[in-house]
Amino acid sequence: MSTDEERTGCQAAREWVSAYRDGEAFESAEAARHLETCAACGSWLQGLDGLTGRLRLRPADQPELVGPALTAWRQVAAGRRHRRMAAGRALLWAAAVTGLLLAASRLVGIPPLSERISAHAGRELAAMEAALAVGFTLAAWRPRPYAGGLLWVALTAAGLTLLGSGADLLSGRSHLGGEVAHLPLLAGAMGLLLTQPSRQGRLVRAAPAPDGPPGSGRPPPANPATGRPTQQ
Amino acid sequence: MTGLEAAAHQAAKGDGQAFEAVCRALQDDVWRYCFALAGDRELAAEAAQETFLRSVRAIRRFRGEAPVRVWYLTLARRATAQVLRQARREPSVAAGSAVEELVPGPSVEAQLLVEQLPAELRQAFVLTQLLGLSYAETASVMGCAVGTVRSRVFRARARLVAAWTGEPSEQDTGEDERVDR
Repeated sequence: MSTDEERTGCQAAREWVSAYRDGEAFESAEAARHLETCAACGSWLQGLDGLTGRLRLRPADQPELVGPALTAWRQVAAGRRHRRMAAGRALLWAAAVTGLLLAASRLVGIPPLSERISAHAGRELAAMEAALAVGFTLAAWRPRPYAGGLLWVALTAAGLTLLGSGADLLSGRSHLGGEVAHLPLLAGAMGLLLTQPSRQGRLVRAAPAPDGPPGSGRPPPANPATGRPTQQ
Repeated sequence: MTGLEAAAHQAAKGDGQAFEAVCRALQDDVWRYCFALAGDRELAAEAAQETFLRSVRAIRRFRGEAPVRVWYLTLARRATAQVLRQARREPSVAAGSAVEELVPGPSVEAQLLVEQLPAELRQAFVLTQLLGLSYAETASVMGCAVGTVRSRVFRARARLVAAWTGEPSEQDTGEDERVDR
């Protein structure tokens, strides 16, 4: 039947124009010619034009979507900061207690100092260890006022100690067991890093501080959310 | 990279302000898509809420393989499917109940026609014509081939024209699962 062939041609041409109007099909001279010459397709296109422009659909009463999402975001962020802070303080307490014990045992000569360290240097070492352990205790007790200032002290000490230990281990002047005593320092430095206020946290407006009394949080960011994507 | 994509990458790193900007930019699209899928205001609201709540944790895994709009709409499709499953309702029978919610005007009749499209044609039509996604992006959201999107958009148009002009649709041959190339 010839009508079947016509229908196939109409169908192909109409499907082409549907995609073409969406910018999803290349030029097709054949389909364009069909649409110009076929009366049925001409009236179909008129119907399509009549429909287009009436389809501005917008349901009324859009519910509030952003607010609940932001509340959830703040809760998740606060939980993350809280866990981070708890882990940091646990490390600081561990570093403080073991550091103090280590310093005390050094002062009374248990275990005996190696022969390369004089008694005088040993006492000075113990004094420095005790000082750091006291700092870790303060930071573990109240991170907000104490952890920030101690961070660079501990990082410097830990960095130089690691360098020295590494050099000694490589040259055979020391063995791994002898360097275990530096673990409290490393744990303390790690704990201090974890208790620092995170950069991400301050980007959430009015985020409640997970620890400490209200109002102890950082000041609000200088430029509040504009409601627009940040241009980069 | 557009501002929206940059904001999405910032949000993935934990930037709350960027997350808010992304949510504000996409809430209309997500809402309209959920509405088109659910066809019911209550369920659509639930699904759209769920979409944004899920995105709070999921945005951390956003790496920009797809535009963030496509990423959110895919999230919306899954959330709506779950909400509809929980409501023990099929998307295709949910259409039509939302007409009274629409902004009144000459477009309401056309809206009614769209509401009565089968669910898959309605989805493809809403994504491409109302949300302005490309066929490739629509295919990504719907999880089907680009050729299927092309076919579904055409069949939706054919049905709408037939219903609009009051003529029977001769074009809907139902060869939906034809894939491109």
